[in-house]
Amino acid sequence: MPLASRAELSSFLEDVEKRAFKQAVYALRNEEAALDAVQDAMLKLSASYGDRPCDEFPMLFQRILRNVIYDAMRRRKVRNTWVSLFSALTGADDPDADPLEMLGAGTDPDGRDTPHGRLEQARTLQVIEREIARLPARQREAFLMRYWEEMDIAETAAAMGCSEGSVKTHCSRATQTLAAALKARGVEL
Amino acid sequence: MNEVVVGRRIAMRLSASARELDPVVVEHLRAARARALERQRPQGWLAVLATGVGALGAGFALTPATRSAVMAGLILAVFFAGNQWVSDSRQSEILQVDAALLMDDLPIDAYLDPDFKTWLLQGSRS
Repeated sequence: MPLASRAELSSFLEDVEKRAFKQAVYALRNEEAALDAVQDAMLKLSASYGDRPCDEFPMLFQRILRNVIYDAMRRRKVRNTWVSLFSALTGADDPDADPLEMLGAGTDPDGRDTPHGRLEQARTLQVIEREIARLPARQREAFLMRYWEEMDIAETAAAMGCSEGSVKTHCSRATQTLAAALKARGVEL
Repeated sequence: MNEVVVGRRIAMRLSASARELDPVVVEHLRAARARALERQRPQGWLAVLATGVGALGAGFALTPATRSAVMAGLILAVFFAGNQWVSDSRQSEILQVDAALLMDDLPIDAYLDPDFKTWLLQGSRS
């Protein structure tokens, strides 16, 4: 199998980077953290597997991205534990916190503002993205790899480190949950 | 609608969303990609050779077994070409010595004759 050239690696990264960023945003709900995760994943793929055949890139990249996202989640969990512990000890709230900003963050987990009068398509997109972000992590990963990255069941199973049967189950549940949630919100696909 | 159709339609919407990313984010991603490419794992000479043979094999639709045979043939060809080059170099040196001897009008047997050496010594004394 031919090994990847620099141009082929570049082409793969260019093709996948935006989707990878959105995947990271759905999982981490923070654009900066998502950018860091994608950058980290790209560096690791290039430095460790840059000479592998192109066909292996999608599976390898998804596996790396998944691990990077989980690492970021673990770090954030530890940091949040310390912050909440410190806040409980000091008993002080942030004096600069704006309640309106907090309300906004609660209604828009992606941190994106939607101007009034935006097209219906944009609203639909936002609803879909929100519902995807709400899916359990494993279901979301399986769904995005299968239908967005167009990886087959075997590749998805290899990237997720689980059986092909589990991939099918996760995908099926994710699709049913999304379809039901979108229908309840009046979104037609 | 079945599962696959729903999945594909949602994916289409998501692709539209990914195309409309903030230009600042797009620029960050481009820079990250450039940094990643700078660190691409270099290919060793064996990998490069394998790539070349692989490309050759792909070009001529060779089977893996045939590809291995082509690679072995290439290695043998390099060996024999090196051997031929060394042989040619030696032959060229011998030709140069021969030419020098001919230009001096000196028979080659003169250097092998013990009396010739004695004659040279006597000549230098006188």
